[in-house]
Amino acid sequence: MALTKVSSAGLNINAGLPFPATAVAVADANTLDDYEEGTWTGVVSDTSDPTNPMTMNASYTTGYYTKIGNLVTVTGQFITTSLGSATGAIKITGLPFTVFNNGAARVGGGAGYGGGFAITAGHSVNYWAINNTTYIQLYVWDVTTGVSEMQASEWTADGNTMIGFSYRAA
Amino acid sequence: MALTKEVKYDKIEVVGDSKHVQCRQATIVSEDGVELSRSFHRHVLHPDSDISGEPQEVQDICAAVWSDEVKQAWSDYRAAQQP
Repeated sequence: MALTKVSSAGLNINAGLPFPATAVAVADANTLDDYEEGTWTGVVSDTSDPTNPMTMNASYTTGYYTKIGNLVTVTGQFITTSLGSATGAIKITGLPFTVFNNGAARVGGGAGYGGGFAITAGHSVNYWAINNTTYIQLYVWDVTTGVSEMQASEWTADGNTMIGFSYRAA
Repeated sequence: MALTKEVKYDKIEVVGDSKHVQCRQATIVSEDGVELSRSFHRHVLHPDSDISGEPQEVQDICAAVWSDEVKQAWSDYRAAQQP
């Protein structure tokens, strides 16, 4: 670490601030104890057990992540070429860190783009990161009470979406 | 001048009561033994994941932490998430 000055004005860092390869977790909520950047692989699957993954377009299955402390931000565009055996409700698996297992950590977002869908014009697609897992469940705003689970039949073989959101890691 | 590329798991973490195994794969590019860059790709294994394609080191960790109780608890949790 190139730490050139510590003064009342704060740190003066001219070559980045490295964190150890293995994070040293600190309980103090005012201490930044981890930073990491990388990629993850998103796969659209159904929610059956075991899941049936769709066939991904190899050029659109990798997303980026940045983890700052316990907050992970993920982005990515995910496109399929075939539904495979997927049926029923669908999700995108492969988040780089497990979502914290607490109701207060629930988070979702709206799709930034959609293509290859078979939904009604005017409806929108959103998602919800499920606690204690590494996937997001997809929903459509298409019922009078709010959302319903997006179905594989609504995604279609060449389905295409962009996501981006932040969540608390376990 | 010799450029080399090495891919390895440089961090394996066990997280939470469900014993999720978080794997970080590092791609390291070096020149004459001096590291030039290191990039990361991550994935997470759950107690019902297929680990047959994972390195033996990862399989050993999974086998050590995924007890029958852990697997059953994860199965119950998964079932509760089904639509």
